[in-house]
Amino acid sequence: MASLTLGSLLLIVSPFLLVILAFVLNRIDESRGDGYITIGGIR
Amino acid sequence: MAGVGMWASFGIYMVMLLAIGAYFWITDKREMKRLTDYLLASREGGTWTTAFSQVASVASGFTFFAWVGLGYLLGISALWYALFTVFFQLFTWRFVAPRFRNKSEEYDSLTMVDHLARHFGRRGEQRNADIIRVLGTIIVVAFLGVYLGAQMVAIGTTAEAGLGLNYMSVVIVGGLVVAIYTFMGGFNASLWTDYLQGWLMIIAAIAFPIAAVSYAGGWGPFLDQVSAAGGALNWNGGQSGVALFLFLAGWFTFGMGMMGQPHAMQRFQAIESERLLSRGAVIAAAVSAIRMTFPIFIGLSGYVVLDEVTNPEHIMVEGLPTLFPDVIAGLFMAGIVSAILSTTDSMLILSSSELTRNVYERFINDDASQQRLIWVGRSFVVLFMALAIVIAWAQPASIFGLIAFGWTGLGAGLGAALLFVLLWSRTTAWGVVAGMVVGLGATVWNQIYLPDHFPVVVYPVTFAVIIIVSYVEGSLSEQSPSGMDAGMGVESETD
Repeated sequence: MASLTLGSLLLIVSPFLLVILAFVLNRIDESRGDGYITIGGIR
Repeated sequence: MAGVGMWASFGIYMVMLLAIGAYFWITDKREMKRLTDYLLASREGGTWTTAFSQVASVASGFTFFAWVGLGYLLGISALWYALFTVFFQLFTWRFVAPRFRNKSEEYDSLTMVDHLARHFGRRGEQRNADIIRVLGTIIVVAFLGVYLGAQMVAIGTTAEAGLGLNYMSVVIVGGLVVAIYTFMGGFNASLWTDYLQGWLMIIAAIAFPIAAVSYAGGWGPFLDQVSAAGGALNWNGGQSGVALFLFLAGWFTFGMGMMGQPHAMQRFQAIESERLLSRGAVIAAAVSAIRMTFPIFIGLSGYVVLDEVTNPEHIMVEGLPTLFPDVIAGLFMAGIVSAILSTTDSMLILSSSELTRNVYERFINDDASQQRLIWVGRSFVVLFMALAIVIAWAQPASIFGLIAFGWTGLGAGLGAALLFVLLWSRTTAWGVVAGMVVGLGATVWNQIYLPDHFPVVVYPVTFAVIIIVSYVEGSLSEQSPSGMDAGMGVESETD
């Protein structure tokens, strides 16, 4: 039976891991008060 | 051949799009006083609509044609591009968009080219600003024209392969629908139709592979059938060493185009506030991850669902009638067309903005009233649609080839320059001009002489030229660097 290797599985989920990263960054932004993007010092 | 149900759901969807255009035509009539009202929805875009619209505006015929075809040919390894796309999308939302949004309002810029020109125009470098305007408009018209043509080819192909209709008549009808709702509702119609189209696109992208797996008898049998028929399930495309590096570098540099698509970047100029960008980044990344991952499995479904694949780019349109009842297939056919139309309307608005602001307002009639400019903008929408239909009439063979060329030309010709102007304070006008010229030239050169590794050469060369020329000009000139706040120089470009 054919199956996917660990490398292939990681590649499939990797774009969604970036979505989780975006979510975490957004939570940090929101927790700083005004929802502005502050990471990297860019406002 | 399409059944009545498929026709009905497809037709109803087209009428809905026209209704959205008509709605904004009626409701915005009194409020539409300035060109920014028509071309940037008065800078009042919301988080969800902007996020969906930004992704949908680059989805294009690429998502359900070219990308599906590459899924069939390259298998899982094509997902490297999905990863890089979402990465650059996130980078753009978080690091480029906030500054672009704020500076755009400060400069009253409508487009990327307009923004670049005004950046230097406000510093008193009017001649350089005009050169950037002309050069940028040429790049937009040339590459966006090709890109737009590819969308109309994809619409015609959907209709021919999926609905059994005459290619050219659907190109004309599809073109008219998108031109009419964009003409009537401007950016607002583009934004809201993109939102609707984005949802339909997501549903279609997810439903097709699920139905195909079910058709195969489950995940295991699906993988068995794909593997037995020659579908690639490995992460590296069977490559290693230098070949693997070049394979990854190709997708990485192709992903950089995300930062330079003027029709997508215009969404950031229209969003209500930079406050919305952080949350918008999450939505855009999620929509993008779905739109880039699932179509690869649609491509692999070709090994399972279709007896014979003559053109991998047609797998989705040809497979829909096998997997779904007529009405649902028609709805998903509309989803495919959605991906195309959402890009087309954004391109029409952008092209119209560039020509209205950079050619008509700047060089032909700088005293034109705002109402006149809005009508000039509308006229350019119609003109560009006609150009796209003519390109589609020539019916080039590969949609991917056209899109890859247009995408990279815009990314390198304009995106690189904008990136440096926003993020590197020493960028000079001649650095920008040199970057635009070299970006343009390198795209053509890479396509002709190194097509197997397109566009690996384009971005490194373009970035290097902008840096070197800016350094040289900066050290030779006593003028202030461009990173100094606007207002230092003569404000020769005003409202």
